[in-house]
Amino acid sequence: MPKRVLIIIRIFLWLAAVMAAGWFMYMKIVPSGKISYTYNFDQPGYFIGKLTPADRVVAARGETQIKGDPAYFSLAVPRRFEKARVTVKFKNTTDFPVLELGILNDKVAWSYDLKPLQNKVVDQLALVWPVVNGADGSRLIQRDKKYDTIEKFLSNLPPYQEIGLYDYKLDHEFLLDKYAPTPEIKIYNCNFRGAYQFYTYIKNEDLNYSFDFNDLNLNADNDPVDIKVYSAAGLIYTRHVADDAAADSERQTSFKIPNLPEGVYRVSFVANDDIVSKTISSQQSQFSLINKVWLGEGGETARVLYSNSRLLSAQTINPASLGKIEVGQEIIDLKETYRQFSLKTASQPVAIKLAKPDIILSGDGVFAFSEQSLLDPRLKNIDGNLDINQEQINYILTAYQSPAVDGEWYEATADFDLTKAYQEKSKYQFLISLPGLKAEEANAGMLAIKEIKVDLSGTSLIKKLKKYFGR
Amino acid sequence: MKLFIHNFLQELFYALTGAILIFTFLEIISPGMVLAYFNLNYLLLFWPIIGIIVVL
Repeated sequence: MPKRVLIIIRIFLWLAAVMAAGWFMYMKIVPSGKISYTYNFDQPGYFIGKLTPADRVVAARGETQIKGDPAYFSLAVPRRFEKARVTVKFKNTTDFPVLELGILNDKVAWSYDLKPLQNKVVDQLALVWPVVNGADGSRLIQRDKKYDTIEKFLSNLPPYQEIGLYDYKLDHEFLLDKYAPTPEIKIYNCNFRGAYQFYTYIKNEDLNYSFDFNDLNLNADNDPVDIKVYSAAGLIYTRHVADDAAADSERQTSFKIPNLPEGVYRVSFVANDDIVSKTISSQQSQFSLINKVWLGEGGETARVLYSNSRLLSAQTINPASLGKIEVGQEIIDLKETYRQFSLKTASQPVAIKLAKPDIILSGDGVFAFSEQSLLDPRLKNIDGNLDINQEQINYILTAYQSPAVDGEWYEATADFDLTKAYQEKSKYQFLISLPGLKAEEANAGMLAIKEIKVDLSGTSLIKKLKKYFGR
Repeated sequence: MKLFIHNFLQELFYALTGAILIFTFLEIISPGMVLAYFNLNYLLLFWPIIGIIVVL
C-alpha cells in the first residue's frame, strides 16, 4: 500500500475522532445559548427522563399513559440556562378538566411552579360565553357581555364573589369590616409537621408570631427553618434559622414587624418533615392554614378544624392513625397508609373532626381552628371542583390559552424561569398534574402523553465572553 | 489487497484507541458529554475485535 494512501487514511480517521470530540464539546457548551430536546417515548432519552413513578405510568407504543396524579420527569441540562419552554403533546379524555405542568422550585417545601396545559372548564365556557381578548393575551369571559375591554373591567370591577380566576393574578384589596385587634396572646398547640403557610390579618398592630419547634432528627440532613412573610405586594420579611447539631432539639424563633398597613399577610414556614412546630403564639386572631397541614403526633389527640375547601383530602403514614374522619355530615375513611382519600364537601365552611393525630389534610381552601378565624383572601379559582352556576360566577379572567389541536392530540406550551427553579446535579424536576386522577381507582378515559419537547435558552458564549472581559 | 486491509485495520485500531481515550477523558471531566449522544460500549466492543483481527 503506498505510504501516501496510508497517511491519508490515518489523517482521515484521526480527524473523524477529533471532530467527534469537538462536536461533543460543542453540544456541551451550546455556544448559541439555545438548544432543544425532544422525547417521544420510542426510546430512552438522556436529557428528558422517562415519566415516573412506575405504578402511575403505563408505557404504550409511541406514548405513555398516566394513570395517577401526579407524574414526574426530569430534565438534564448540559450547562446553565435561563428559560425553558416545554411543549407537551397529550390527549386527555378523562373527566378531570385541569391539566398542569410544574417545575420544582423549593425541595424543602416541595413547592412547584405550576403552569396550565389545559382547562376544559375555561375552554367550554369560552365557546358559549362572550370573550374579550386583551393585548397581553389574557381573556375576559363574561356570562353577559357588560365590558368591552379588559381595561374597563379592571377599572370598574364587579363584586369579587362574581369573579373567577385561572392563571391570572388580580390585585385586589381585601379588608375585614368588623376586625378589631385584641391584646391577649393566642396559643395554638398545633404540632404541625414540616412546612406550612398561613394567612393572618392585622389592623393598627404589630405583626408578630412566635414558633416553638422540635427537631426530630430522623434523617441525617440539615434541618434549617426559613420564615417568610408576604404582603399583597410580595416578600417583606425573611428569617433563617440554621440547624445547630450541638443545640437542644427544642428551638424557638419569632418575628415582630411594626408599622404595617391593614390587611392580609401570608406567613410561610419552610422546613422539612423533621421539624415539628409544637406551639404558635400570636396576638393576631386570624390564623388560616393554606391548602395543606400535617397535624403531627403528640399534643391534642382529638381536635376540630374548619375549612372552606370544596375538595378535601386526608392521608396518613401512621397505621395507628387509620380510621374515620368526620367532615360535616360525611365521613372520610382512612383505610390505608400512604394513600390519599378525598371527599367533595356539600357546603362550606365545613367542620372536620379528627379523632387521631398524625393526619395530613389538604384542600383547595384554608383550614382554621375556629370558624371565625377562617380567612381566605383569594378569588375563586376555576377548576374541576367549582360549580360556576352554584357559585354565581359571572366573570372569568385568565391568561391561559387553550391548547392547539393536532389531529386527536393537543399541544400546549408552558414557559419556566430556570433561574428560580431548584436543580440538583444539573437536573430539574418537572411534574404533570391532573387533579382527581387516581391510579387505584377506575377512571373513565385516559391521559396519554405523546411527546415532550424542551427549548432551552440562555446566555450565548459570545455574550458571556464579552461580560467576562468587561466590554 | 490483504496487506491493504491489514494496514487499514491497523490504522483504524490506532484511531479507535485514540477515540476511546479522548472520549473517556471528556466523560470524566464532564459526565454525560459523550454518553448523552453516543454509547461508548459500542466502541469498547468494536475496538478489541479490530485489535484481534489485526493480530491474527
